[in-house]
Amino acid sequence: MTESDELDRLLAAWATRYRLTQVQVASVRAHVASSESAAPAALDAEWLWWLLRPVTALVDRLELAEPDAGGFGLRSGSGPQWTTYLQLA
Amino acid sequence: MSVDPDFEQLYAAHRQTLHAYVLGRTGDAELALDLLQDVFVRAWRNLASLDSLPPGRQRAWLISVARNLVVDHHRAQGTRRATGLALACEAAIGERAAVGADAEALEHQRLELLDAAIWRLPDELRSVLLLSVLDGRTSTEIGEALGRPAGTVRYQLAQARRRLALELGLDDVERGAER
Repeated sequence: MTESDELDRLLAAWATRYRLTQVQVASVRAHVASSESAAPAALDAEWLWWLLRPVTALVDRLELAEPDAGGFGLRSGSGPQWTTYLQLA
Repeated sequence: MSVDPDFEQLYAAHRQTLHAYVLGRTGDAELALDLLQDVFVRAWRNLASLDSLPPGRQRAWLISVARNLVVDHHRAQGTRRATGLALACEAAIGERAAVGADAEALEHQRLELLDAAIWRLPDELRSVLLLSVLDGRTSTEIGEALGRPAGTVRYQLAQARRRLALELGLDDVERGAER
């Protein structure tokens, strides 16, 4: 046996200490599966709308209370964009 | 607990490679498992995109995710665990040197020496060596996964083996690596 073969033999013996075991393989798989069940599957428009609802509800309430008060940028009742939108509608 | 069959296939094909890579880059068996989990959680979330790639490209994608996770970890830690691991191994060798010179003890001592020498290798050499030794990948496959020419991988493997041979007193390997 050459010394190169001896190094290969020692490396192979060393590798048995560190190669993934079946227990570790199963443990990592289980972790991934549990992470998957906790994560949202994809962007859900309904869910996003529900999440933003408190903000949109606040805007709606302000619009109803003071329809001509403006204060929300383009939605100013006297602005040209708003007027055009009303005309088209 | 059931897992998507596509994921099972991906996991079976790449888990040893990813493990060898993160172990090589971190020098920490426990941390390597944690990072392996993180890589496959990301793989799961991108399964639809990954599934359409050939295995070589899948491996390269997974390695790049692993590389980023390792870099993030090192950045957060600021210190390298590999050094600590190597020092621990050296201490163990010192203790066992007094055990006796029978064949089993000698073999154990050589493996401890090899272990310490591997953890002392630079990350770049160690990760290449572990992909070869733990996962049985060829230089071409390692090169594809790491984005390096196969010739560079062969050179790095030879460098790693030369350093290990020197530490183990296997001079023949050192001369062979120079050819």
